[in-house]
Amino acid sequence: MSSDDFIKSYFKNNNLDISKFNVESFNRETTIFKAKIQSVQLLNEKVNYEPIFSHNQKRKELR
Amino acid sequence: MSKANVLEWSIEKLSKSIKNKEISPVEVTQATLDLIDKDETNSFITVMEEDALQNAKQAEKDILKGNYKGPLHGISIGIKDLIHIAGYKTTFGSETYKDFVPEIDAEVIRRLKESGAIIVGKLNMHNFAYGTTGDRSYYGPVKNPHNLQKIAGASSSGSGAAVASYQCFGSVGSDTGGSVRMPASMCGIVGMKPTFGRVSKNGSLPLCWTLDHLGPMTRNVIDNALMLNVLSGFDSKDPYSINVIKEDFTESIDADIKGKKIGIPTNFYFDILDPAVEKIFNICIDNLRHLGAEIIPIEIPGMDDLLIAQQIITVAESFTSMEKHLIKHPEMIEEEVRSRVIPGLNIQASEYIKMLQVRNKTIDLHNQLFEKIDVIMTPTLATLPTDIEQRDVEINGSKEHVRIFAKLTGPSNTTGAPAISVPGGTSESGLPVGIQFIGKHLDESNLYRIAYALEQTGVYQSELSASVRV
Repeated sequence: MSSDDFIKSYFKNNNLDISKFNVESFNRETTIFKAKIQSVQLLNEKVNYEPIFSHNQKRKELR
Repeated sequence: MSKANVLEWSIEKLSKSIKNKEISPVEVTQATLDLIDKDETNSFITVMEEDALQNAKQAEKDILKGNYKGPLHGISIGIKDLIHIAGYKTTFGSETYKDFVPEIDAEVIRRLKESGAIIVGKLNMHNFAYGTTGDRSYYGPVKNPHNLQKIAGASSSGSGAAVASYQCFGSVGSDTGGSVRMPASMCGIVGMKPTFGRVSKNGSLPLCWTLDHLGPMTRNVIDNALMLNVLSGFDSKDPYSINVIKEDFTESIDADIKGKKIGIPTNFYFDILDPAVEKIFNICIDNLRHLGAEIIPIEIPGMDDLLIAQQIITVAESFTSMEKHLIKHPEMIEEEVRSRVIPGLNIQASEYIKMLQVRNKTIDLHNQLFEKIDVIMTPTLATLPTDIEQRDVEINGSKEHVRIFAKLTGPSNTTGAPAISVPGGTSESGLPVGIQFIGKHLDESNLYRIAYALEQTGVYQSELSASVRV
């Protein structure tokens, strides 16, 4: 089921009045959230993250 | 001893006079209620006049008999209106809960009553505690006592404005993304978000179970520590409560801070910053350096990811906590809040869990950091309080939404680390600017000590709007 279908189905199953929600804002926010989740780098096991006690050092990349 | 302007006294000072029977809790409570009656900030939703006076009379009797219960005995305290007080409506700042009257006190209320505190009322707040401005309540916007055209900030807006305008000596707020610290900064008071689990949430309405915290708001640092002494402690009825040894947070609060290592982030926290805030922040750094603190630049990796985790966890959990209301009576939920919550419907379990993993990773990174420094110091907010109903704000040439107010406070909700906002100065426009100190888990004592040292340098003097002065 696509995301859109899921939403429509949820609204229908719960008798939600879609006119009471800002659908445009909902779609825009959902797109932003999905993009943000995709952008997360911290769980990338190839990168060793640690605090750096200096202005100019870059984080260490594992070879 | 002069009793003029007793409402402007600190808890520390007033409690000594009450203990010594120089001032009656009844006098203090009546004066508090008289001031609340003239409130121009819209801080209160419910005033508990009858109960407050009755409890003040009981406090007076107890103290005269020699049964003094401690520093909060006879002191007027306000409560954010998402915390249950038996027999009084708990509205969540909403139409949805306007008739909800709990039968049992929240754990923090039980503790306050046991300490002899006089609860004077329930404080106004942002609808469902979901907002950075405090101006979308079913009961009207809360106004900043320093400038009535400006917001008081975040969801605990009434808790901030009431304390700053002397309508109570302390309050209890809640903080999911900064809602204790934001109004503390905007109203020129002290707000502590303790370590996650330090203060029981049993009996408070939830927004996000893994991010919500309750914490004290007061006019100075010692008063805040006195309140946390009472509020903190294990509670088996709260599944998130932590069982740690009870501390006296005032014990070493005035110890010098020579040699304390204060980390100043070189990334994230200063990406977008109002020059008026930066100027005051730099003055505070200089003051702490003069006191002997060591200032250490530090780059904290993963902060942008941490902010994303905060946002995703917030939207997913707030949707879950509000789902039944969204289905039954969506029209009763404020439109802006409704729009913000509904995208949570579309967050998948795997995405939510990934964000919890980001949280765990960043907790680990912060723990590494705190092996080498004592606290992180940042501004509490990137800019000054905005106008009521203003939504877009320009900060140093960057156009932002007022949600940016949570950027610097939200990360500590996700990591669960304690964080305090203490006034750092006043802008040329007359608005307070808060300084945030973030510590390692369970290190509130260190935060109080450094915040107290900064406070004692005299960087901040409260200047309320003429119409709300006592």
